Amino acid sequence: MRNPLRPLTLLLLPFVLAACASTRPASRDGGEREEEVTPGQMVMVVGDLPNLIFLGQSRRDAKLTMVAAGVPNYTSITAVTSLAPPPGLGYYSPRTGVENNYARFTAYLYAYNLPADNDFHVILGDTPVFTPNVTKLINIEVSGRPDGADVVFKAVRNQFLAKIGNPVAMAHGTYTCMAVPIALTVGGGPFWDVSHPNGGSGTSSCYGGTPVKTSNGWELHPVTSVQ
Amino acid sequence: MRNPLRPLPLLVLLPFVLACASTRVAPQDRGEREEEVTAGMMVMVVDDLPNLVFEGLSRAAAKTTMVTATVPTYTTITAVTGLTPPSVDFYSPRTGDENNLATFGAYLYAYNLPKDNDFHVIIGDTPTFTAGVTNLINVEVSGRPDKTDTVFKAVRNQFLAIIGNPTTMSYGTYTCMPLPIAITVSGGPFWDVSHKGGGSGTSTCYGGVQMKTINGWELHPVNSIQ
Repeated sequence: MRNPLRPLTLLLLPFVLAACASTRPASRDGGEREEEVTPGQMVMVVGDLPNLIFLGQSRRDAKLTMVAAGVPNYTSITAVTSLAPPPGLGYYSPRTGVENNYARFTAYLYAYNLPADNDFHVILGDTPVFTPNVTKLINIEVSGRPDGADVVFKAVRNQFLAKIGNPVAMAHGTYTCMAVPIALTVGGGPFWDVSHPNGGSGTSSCYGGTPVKTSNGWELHPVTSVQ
Repeated sequence: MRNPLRPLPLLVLLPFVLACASTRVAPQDRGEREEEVTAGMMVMVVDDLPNLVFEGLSRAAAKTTMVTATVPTYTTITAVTGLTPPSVDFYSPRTGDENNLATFGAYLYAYNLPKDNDFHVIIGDTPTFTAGVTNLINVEVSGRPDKTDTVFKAVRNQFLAIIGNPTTMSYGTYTCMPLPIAITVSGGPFWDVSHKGGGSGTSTCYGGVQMKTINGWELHPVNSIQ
């Protein structure tokens, strides 16, 4: 005998699918390509911020290799962002050429976020207040830890968290704007981000929507110190 | 004969149910009771921040009525938080001390945007928050009463200017101020029946220290913030 309730299961399916579709999670590219979340998107709140492990894939080994701190080769944002891009870099390239040098400079913190790959994106510029077409910008990335045993990357994450008021939770991908930019002195290795060769790191969600975005793929990545 | 494919629809349904269950959406109390989101929750990104309309229900009329007094009766946080609570419930209009004006200088430590579209602004009377020393109050920059309003929108724009004019936020997530900003705020004292015992504020700033109000007194709505 035919069970009259049998089609009911299939009828339930559209409701389940619709409920899932109404919560658009941030895209799953590990946060390496995508820079900003958009209104209507659902994002996850995360805790344990000092301990988060790097979840990206693009140039993974290079991103997890710190350059040795010493006498800096570059002492300004523009000294880094005007370097010639290393030729022939691909998705799997290790650090190469000028990426093995050391940069250290003082700059102003305008905004930061925490993408899904667990690197903090820290948008810095060389003027006390961001001014379009005047301020030179760079994205410096306070990397996720390479593994759960690491203490070096964790220490840098704690340095950065102390600068932003030691939050213990954040929503993935949402930029926080610094109403009063803070002066920071940062050190790290120049890094050419193959996911952003034309820049675009940063945000249009601060300062009334003014784009605060980098002009090319140069970053400091990973950051070795934030003071 | 039994059809071996008969359980298939149920098996297809199961992964979708599990996928949905793994994303905990923030509770739907319109943000009036709940103060904080927690790790693992999914929250929505919102924009059009100056224009958002008040979505709460608790004492909605009182929350969207600005006091009209021009001379402040209370000039410190403790002058407000030391008031005697009025006898009010979920539907009460403004009453008694709630019709007076409070104006004082204070320091902004943290803020968030709950789902009722009021900004919760946690301020205190010391330049940096010191547990056991700082007197706290939550001042609420209200959502607009309706889409034609210009008065509440102006206050929202005042507040947004202080925090760097962001154009998007994630509902419910507190932002911590590493260097608290000195502000001067005015508004009507308000007894929040959803938080009679206090608890407005956050434990997600300054390394997780409890930064929460001690009773239900707020300024709500804020008339001006500079």
